[in-house]
Amino acid sequence: MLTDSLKKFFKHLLKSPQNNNNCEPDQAEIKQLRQELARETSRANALEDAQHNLLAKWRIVLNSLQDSVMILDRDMRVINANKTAIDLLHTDDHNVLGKRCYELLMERKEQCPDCPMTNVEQEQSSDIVTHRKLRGKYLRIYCSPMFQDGKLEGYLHCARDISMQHTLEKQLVHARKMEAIATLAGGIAHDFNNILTTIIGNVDLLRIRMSGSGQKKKSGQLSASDADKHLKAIKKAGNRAKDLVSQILTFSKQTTGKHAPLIIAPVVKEAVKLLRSSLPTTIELNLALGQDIGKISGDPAQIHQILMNLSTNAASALKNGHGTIDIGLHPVNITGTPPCPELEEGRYIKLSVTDNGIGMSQKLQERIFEPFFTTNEVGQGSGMGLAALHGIITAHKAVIDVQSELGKGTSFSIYFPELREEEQASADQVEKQPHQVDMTPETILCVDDEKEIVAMEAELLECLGYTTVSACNGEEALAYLKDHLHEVDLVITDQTMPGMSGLELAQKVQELRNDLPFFLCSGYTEVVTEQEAAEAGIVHFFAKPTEIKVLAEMAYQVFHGSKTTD
Amino acid sequence: MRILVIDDDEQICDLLQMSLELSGFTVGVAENGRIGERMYEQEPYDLIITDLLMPDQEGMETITSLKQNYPAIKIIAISGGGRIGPEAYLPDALLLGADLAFTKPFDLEELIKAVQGLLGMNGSNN
Repeated sequence: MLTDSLKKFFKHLLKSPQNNNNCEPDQAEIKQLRQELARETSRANALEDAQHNLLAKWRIVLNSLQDSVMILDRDMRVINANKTAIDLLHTDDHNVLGKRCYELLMERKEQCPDCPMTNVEQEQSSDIVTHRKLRGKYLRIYCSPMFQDGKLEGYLHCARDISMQHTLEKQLVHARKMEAIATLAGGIAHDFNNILTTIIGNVDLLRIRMSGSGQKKKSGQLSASDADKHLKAIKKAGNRAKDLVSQILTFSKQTTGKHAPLIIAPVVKEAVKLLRSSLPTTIELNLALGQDIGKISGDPAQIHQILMNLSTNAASALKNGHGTIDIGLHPVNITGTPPCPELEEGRYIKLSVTDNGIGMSQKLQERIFEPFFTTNEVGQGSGMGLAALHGIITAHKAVIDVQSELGKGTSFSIYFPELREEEQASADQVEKQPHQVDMTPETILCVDDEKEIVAMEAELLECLGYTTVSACNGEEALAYLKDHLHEVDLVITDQTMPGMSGLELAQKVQELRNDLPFFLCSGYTEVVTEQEAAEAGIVHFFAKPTEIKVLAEMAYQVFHGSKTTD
Repeated sequence: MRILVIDDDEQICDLLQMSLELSGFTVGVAENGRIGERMYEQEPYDLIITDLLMPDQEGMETITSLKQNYPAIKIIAISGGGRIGPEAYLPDALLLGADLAFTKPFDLEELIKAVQGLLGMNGSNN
């Protein structure tokens, strides 16, 4: 737009000489006009400089933001992007400007199916958050529409790298589990001490009675049925310890977070067994299972964790450690008004943990899922419990509902969407007696670094009619096999031994003779992959302590199914 | 001599009953403190062996109540601990009036010797 002085100047130049007798321009006026023009030019330059500075400052501010910021037009094409966005995309300005956000961020040719922009436009909402994973980074994306005179002009697309937070959240979930384990350890120690008392006591008693040193006459005359009574008590206690270890292992397993069809009832039953061992006996623990509980899509270790954490919280809410915790698992069909707003109509499996403890105020209920919010006293816990659980529950596409009343108690209900598949496998195993061996006994090589275990294993197998050879480590076993390669029909080895592991032994033997079957025993689960085991000739894997009956049954199957003729 | 064993762990009760009976005692068994107290009221025992952590009525309450009502009663407390180990509970049991305390797992022979000692059967009062 021309300024007034410039207009005057041009007007002057356009004055027609015919209309003016004096053809000479008015020099004074020209000078004045020139001066005005110079001032205008200088003002315009200053304005341009100011605009330039403003733009530069705006760019500095934009580039200083740690979040990636992109300005998009209505077609989702980038019209401006800050340095973080360029760095995040590992590219430069030229490759960003004019491209669509989904081409850049998701390497897609079409709009993302869950694109938040659609909602922004439809719902006229100002802020939509979504999450994306880009080249190993976790991004939280905020999207805002930009309106001018009520008309949508484009979008502001901001992305924050939350990879560190994501990692920390995962670590916190694990830490919370470890915290729960620490709480449980004391309770488990109580059970183990009882078990050990039974085992040691019965052994002592058996020895006393065998030596006849008891006070009563009959104590010196130990009958076979008396001895059997002590042995049964020892075995029962041993099995209790075995169950306890198996429950602890299930709970301490690093969760994979991978979800697969899961029959949830056995997982809940197992967790309740562990809870019974870990909670003070002053707490009454009840489990109610509904009929026809189907499958969910889930991770068993995480379901275990949900139940353990909710129940230990419930236990802390009980007055003076006395009270009741009711655990329920029931299929439910949600129609009409749901118990909580997040719940949609459909079939669910509801897991509930209800206590009759101190209860929570409405205000407290609103805060319980906040990270680090805790009602525990200092030193009793970090307060990540329910926040971490909330993450797990959400990952299961489940919904959690809390009902609580001060002084009466609290009930947490988790609604897991039910899977449609209705196949329920009944895997009740029928106890079988071990097979006695025929007249041509096979030779079994037993390998374990625990001398007592290897001696006991060999003795038991010999009782069943097998010939056994023992070795106390992998090297010793390998040396024996090199000399007697075709005299051994089966190797039963421990996995964790100093020097050569059971798997390594099997792999080395495979090179010498590839048809020698191996049984691998271990106190830990999942130490060897299926593929490694198959390649090394391992036909069965056993968790310690191994039932001799099962071991003998498997040996019988190996010999009578695929016995070598050597 | 009559001994009452109070423990919610059935196997521990069986073990103590069997070993005490073999040592010549008559043994009664209760699964919690409430039942134990009732049994004692009906027919007194010479000595009580009680666990500490039990449902319904735990050991501390049982020891306190029995010592209040029958000050001369002999009590041995046994515990495998709970959330904070047996050593945290057993001294309290002694303060409340238990004569002796044993940590689980205990040596059966030592326990029987202690029972005999408290009842003045072997002259070595522990």
